[in-house]
Amino acid sequence: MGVFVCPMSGFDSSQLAAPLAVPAAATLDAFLRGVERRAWRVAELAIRQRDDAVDLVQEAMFGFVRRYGQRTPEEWAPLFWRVLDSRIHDWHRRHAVRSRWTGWLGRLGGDADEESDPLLAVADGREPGPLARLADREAGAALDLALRALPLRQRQAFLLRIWEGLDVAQTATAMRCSQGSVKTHLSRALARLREQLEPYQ
Amino acid sequence: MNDPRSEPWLERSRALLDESLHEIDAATLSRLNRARQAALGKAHAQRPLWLGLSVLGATAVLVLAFGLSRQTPVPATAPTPVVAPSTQADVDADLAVADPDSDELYENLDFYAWLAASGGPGQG
Repeated sequence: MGVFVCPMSGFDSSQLAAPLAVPAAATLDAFLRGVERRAWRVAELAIRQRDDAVDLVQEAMFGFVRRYGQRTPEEWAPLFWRVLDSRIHDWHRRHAVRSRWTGWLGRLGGDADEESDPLLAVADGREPGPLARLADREAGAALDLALRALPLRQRQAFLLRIWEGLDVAQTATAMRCSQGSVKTHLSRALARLREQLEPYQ
Repeated sequence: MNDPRSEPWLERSRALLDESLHEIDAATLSRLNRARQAALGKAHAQRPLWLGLSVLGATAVLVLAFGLSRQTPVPATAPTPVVAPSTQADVDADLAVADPDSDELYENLDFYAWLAASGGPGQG
């Protein structure tokens, strides 16, 4: 089994004492600590709601620790992203159902209160979010916008492969699809992003 | 095929995404921290599966034995009961088929341990 080195957090599984039957809590804590901010960004980009994104990350942490915490640290990264990806899909399914019901009830109610419209709770796509506060404000905002405009699967493939640094096989595990699908999603994501971000290159 | 990560515009994209992590507000970071600790705390609170199953098995046996011992004598003229195992056990059937992964089982583990130690209801 290979060694997992997280480029973002500096977490290196080779530094651990040889395969632990029960990984030390400190190791698990270090892994989650290293991944939690990126997990929140991925969730926030996917659902456009900051508070719900924290809830999704928390649910993912619970699910990951419960189901996969006993696995070897080399296996953790794709499995954690797999759980989070699953939670994101669940969130979209729940909201799709809720939107259908609220839309139907809204039509029945005629002049329904605008505050009950779930679409109003969705962040404005033109609102760039945290990236807008960067020194390179325009490029950051454009990247944020372009990422939000991608279909979910393409965005996940891009973030997991390009940002998180998972390989194709790990990304396929995380996204619960074939490696061929990962390549297809990534290729389409890169084409769209390259086109939209060209003015900022 | 070249590694797509090596393209300059992608390196810049990664840098921008990394920078955005530093812009996450303190309230969100605090919530993430609490979420992590809660997830780890819950994991530590979980007891080994074998312990839960052992206690559950012992409890089921005791309940079954208790049910059998409480069987009232059947009149000679009455037909012999077809079902030898206790009907009392049916009452606690949910214990016997409880999902070992259930959080409820673990939360009530102390009660089951006490029940096993006291020899079942009516004997302790």
